[in-house]
Order: sequence, then C-alpha cells, then structure tokens
Amino acid sequence: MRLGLIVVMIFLMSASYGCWSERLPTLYKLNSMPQEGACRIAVLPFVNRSSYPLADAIAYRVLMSKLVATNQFDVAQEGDVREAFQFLRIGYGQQPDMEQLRILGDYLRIKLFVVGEVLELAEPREISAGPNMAVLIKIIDSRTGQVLWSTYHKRSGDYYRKIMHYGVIGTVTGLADQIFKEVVELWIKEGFRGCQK
Amino acid sequence: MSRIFLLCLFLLMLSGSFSDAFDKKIAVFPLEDLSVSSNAINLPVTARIIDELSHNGFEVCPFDKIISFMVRDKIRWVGYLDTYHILQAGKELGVDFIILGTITQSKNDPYPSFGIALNFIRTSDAKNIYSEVYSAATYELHRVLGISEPKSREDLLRLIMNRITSVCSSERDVGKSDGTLFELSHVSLEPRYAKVGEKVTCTVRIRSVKDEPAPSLLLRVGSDMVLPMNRLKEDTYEASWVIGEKEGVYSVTLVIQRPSGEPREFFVGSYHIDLAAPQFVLDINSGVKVNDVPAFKDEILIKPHFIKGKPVTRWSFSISDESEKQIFYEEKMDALPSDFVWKGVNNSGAPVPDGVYKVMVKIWDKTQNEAVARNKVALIRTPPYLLIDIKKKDNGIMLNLTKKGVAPLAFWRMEIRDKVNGLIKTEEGDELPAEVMLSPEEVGGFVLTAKDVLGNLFRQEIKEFGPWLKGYGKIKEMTDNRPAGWVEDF
Repeated sequence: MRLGLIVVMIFLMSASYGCWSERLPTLYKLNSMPQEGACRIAVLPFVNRSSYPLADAIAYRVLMSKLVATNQFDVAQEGDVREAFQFLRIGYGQQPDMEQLRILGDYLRIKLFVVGEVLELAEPREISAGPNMAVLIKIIDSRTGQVLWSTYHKRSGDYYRKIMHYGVIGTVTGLADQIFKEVVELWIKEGFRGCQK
Repeated sequence: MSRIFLLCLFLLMLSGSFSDAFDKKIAVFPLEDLSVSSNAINLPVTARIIDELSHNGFEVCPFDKIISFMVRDKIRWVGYLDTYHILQAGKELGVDFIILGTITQSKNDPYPSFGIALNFIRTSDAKNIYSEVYSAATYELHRVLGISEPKSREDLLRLIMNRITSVCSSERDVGKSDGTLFELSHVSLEPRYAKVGEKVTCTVRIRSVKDEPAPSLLLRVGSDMVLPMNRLKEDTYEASWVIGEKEGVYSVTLVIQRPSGEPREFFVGSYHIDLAAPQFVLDINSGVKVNDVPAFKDEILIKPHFIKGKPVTRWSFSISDESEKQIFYEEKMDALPSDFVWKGVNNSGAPVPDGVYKVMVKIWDKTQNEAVARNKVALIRTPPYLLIDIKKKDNGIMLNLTKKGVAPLAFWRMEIRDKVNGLIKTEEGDELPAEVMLSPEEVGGFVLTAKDVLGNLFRQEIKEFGPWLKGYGKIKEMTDNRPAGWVEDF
C-alpha cells in the first residue's frame, strides 16, 4: 500500500516537472499573423547581450539554417540584409526604426522580419554541465513595425541529458541548433504559415 | 569520411532541385571561421571540401577562380553573399550551386568541440536550397570502453561528415524564387526635415544582371505628386523638387518599370515639412530670490521646460553680464540636456564677480528652426556685513545691529562672554535691525555671527570688550565732530 503511494507520488512529481519544463519556449502572441502567412522572410542581425564573443553571428547563421531547413520559407540572403543596413546607415547590431523597417521590407520583398537577441550564451563551467543559452526572438511586421510574436527560450546542454552523459549537448552550436529548432517548430505548430505548396 | 560527405551531397543533389548532380557545377566559397574572429577565413577546411568533391567526380570550380571572382567583385567578406553577387557568381564562374559556410566553433577547451553551418544556394535565382548545422564534442561521444572514441577535432570533423549522410537523404522540393533581377544598391533622401522653399533630393542606384534596356524610374511623393527620375550615370538616378508649404510627413515611393514585367515599388523614406519652431522656457528654482532674481552662491540649476516640444539636434548655453559681455558659452550637436548647471565661472573656469547675469539657451530642431529662452540669475558670494552702533542707555550700553548686503539673513547670533570667557548670554534672531543690551562691567568680549540664506557667513569676534569700546568711542567722536564738507573718501 505504502509502496504504491510512493510510486504514485514519484509519478506525479515527474509529471509536474515535465509540465514545468515544457513551458519553454514561451510564445507571446501580441498581434495576429497575416492570414496568408509569409513565404519570404528575413532574419535581421541579432543583438548580442551575452559576454560570448560573436554570439550574435552564431545565432544568426543557426536560426537562418533552421528556417531554410524547414523548407517552408524563402529566407532572404544575409548579404542583402547587410547591404540594406549599410545604405540605410543602420549600425550592425542596432535595431532599425519603423521607417527603416518599411524600406527594408520593400527592398527585400518581405512582409515579416525575424529579429533576435542572445541574452545569454556561455561555455560549460565544468565538463559535465554543457553550455547555457537564452534567446528572445520576435516576428515583426515590416509595414507597421508591430511585434506580432515574441518567443523566449532558455536551455542548458545538461537539460537534454538522458542517462549518464548520454544526450547532453556539449557545444554552443549544438545547443543553439536545438533551441532554434524548438522555437521554429513551435512557430509552425502555432500557425506561422510559410510558402503554400 | 570524404565518401560519406560526397554521398550526402550526391543524395542531396538527387533529390528535388539538385537533380542531375554530376551535370551541375559547384563553387565552394571560403568558409568563415567565427572561432577565430568575425570575417576570418578557414582555408584548410574549405580546401578539403573542394579536394574531396573534385577527386570524386564532381565538377568543382577551382578555388583560385573563386578568389579571382571575389577580388574582381570587391567581395571582402566570407560566410554570406548578397543576391547580386550570387547571380554574378553563377554568370562569371559558370556554377549552378554555391556552398557558403561558417565554422561556428572549434575548441579544445574544456574538451574538443567543432561546429559548422552550411548553406547550399542555387545561383539561377539566389535561393537557399538546403542548410544545416553540424556540431559535435568529444564529451558527448564517450563510448563504452572507449572503443573508437573521438579524441580530437579531426575525429569530430569526420563524424560530422558522417552525420550529414542521414540528414541529406530527405526529399526536398524547393520552388523557384521570383528572381527579380533589378535591385537597389543605394538609396538616399535628403534632407529628411525641410523648411518651406528647400529642395529635397532623392538618389538611387540600381543594378541589373540581365542584358535589358534601362528601366524607367518614377518617384511618387505624398499622395499627389509623381516625378520622373533623371539618369545621372549608368546605374544612378536622381530627382529633386522644392517642397510645398503644407506641414506634414511625406512618404516617397520609387517605382521601377522594367521593359518586361510588372512595375516594382519601393518605399524609400519620408521627409517632414516643419514650419513651427519649438517653444520653451528656462525654469530656475534656486529657492532664493533677490529683487525677484533667482540667486545662488555655489551653483545654480537651470532647467529647460518645453511648451511645444520637438526633437532638438543642437543647443547652445551662454551667460553674459549686465553689459551684455559674454562670459560663458557652450554648444553641442546633441539632444537638449534635462538641465544645465552654472557654477559662477567663466569659460576659463575662473570665478566671476557678484552680480546679475543673463542666461540664454538656444535650440535648433531637425529642420533647423531656432528657439531661444532667457532668464536672469544673481550671483552672491560676498558674506553679509553687520554694523554695530553703540549708545549709552541707563547704566548699560545698547548695541544696535544693522545689516549690509543684498541677500536676506538666515539668522544672526551674538554670544556674550564675561572676562574669563564664560558665556553670559546669547542673543539671536533672523531679522535685523536688532538691539542688544550689555553691562560693560560684566562683559569681557563677544562673538557675532550671521549667515544669509545663500549660506554666506559673517563672523566677528571681540576678545577685549573694554579697549574695543574705547576705540569705537574715539572713532564715533571724530565722525560726529567732522566739519561740514568733510569728504569721507579723502
């Protein structure tokens, strides 16, 4: 009887832990997405708020790769985004204002932008821990400058541990890859529609 | 390792848009190495991929040709390209696909780790065909008994290539991009804030990779003006116009009409017609006013307060004396600060004499509309001075205290001591004139202090009351008996 109770308690605890841990990534739907979706999108340069060097560039390439890999979006070339930033005199890592977003939108033929900040990125402090990463990613309407969706995600490499060292993500690249994969999957699940097939 | 990588690429090319893989030509651009720095090149890994592909039957563009292309087209960066250069690469190098990549990490500490992001792009329409991120660390890959366990970055790279195989086998159906070939390479619209009568100029530079006749370019300004753009050079167009008299924000849209195809519209910016200058006043709350002028001793806070606020691009702050001579001046191309502090000094940092000074703040908005606000301040550093008049009254002496100085008194105090310096009594107050009664037999001395509301302090100490009284009597006698027409300053 007592053993049964303990088993039930362990089950409930693990279930509640599962619920808690599933809260991330957190998606805030601040405004509605365009009904027709957005086939062509652009990722704007990330802002690096972490102390990890070039975390913005790493995050940019990884997120872009994840969006291309879905095969649902026509992602604007990074070179085009950078060139537009240059002629609009927007510093790299600086966020464009509303008017600049509109110009960028027309120039890149884009309705929606993805902008992001790396809030935290750190190599493992001890060998068994894995790296840490936290990001904030927003989907912005190029015509109005409104934030449509905002997503916060945070994970450590250790989170993915299954047993012993198995499952632990030991690289910042691998962790960024996993985090952005989860974010993009959530977006698609929540109705972010790409190119109509 | 190389075979697996090539198999992957082969599978990738078999599927979807990479069909007829061996008929297609590939260019592998230098990989960016973020583990070193931004825009660092990793030639060994790049060369390795090129060698492996070419040794296994793929038609790979020679690396020196790619470098020549980059030099010729002034491409000074790695890891990414813009549409124009992707299309140009297709044309100049004769390649169907390009591979751009970034090494995101390559470390040995705390354990060997490696990460790479690869992007496969079709050159016919500059479309991303496939992209993937590969990473591995030795810590993730500990094996039972350590058999075939990766120990170095080289081992990891080999494994990463293995992983590509499983990922690439999926079918990929990527549509064609609409491939708009005209692109803007530069846009400028100046000025963004204009006054009536000023001229606004819009300059654009376009690029084309098709051998088409030049397009016609129009500008739509606001809702009712359409202007043709003049071709200055082969790729540069310009239009200028004198702005109207109606205040507001005017959006400017560029319309590119190609000989073949639909017109393309680009929003290129907006400009503001701004007629009204900002309005503001200077608030000075020193707490003390002398003759209705805010007064200070050490420093004074001057706060601009907007009545009609607008963004300020430039300001000047100046102080001049009553003869309009400027003694302090500061100017900056910046937003207006929330307050100014003047410490009663000139531009060299030297203190200026007491007096009334005129403060002037001038501001310019984005249209260079000018606004000025003025106020006055009084600088008082001289302490108050107390005059003592002595009169005999009954058996004692009456001291009559009066004040000289413009600032009101905060307090005055007189400590009267006996001949052995013991305190007999203290007289004090916050207003003058006042009278203090003393008995000359008892009094040995006194200390008289006074402070004005600005904090300037007056202090006079008489240690020997008797001799001071005699001396005062003689001066008084001389003053009272001076002949008519006596000139004090003589």
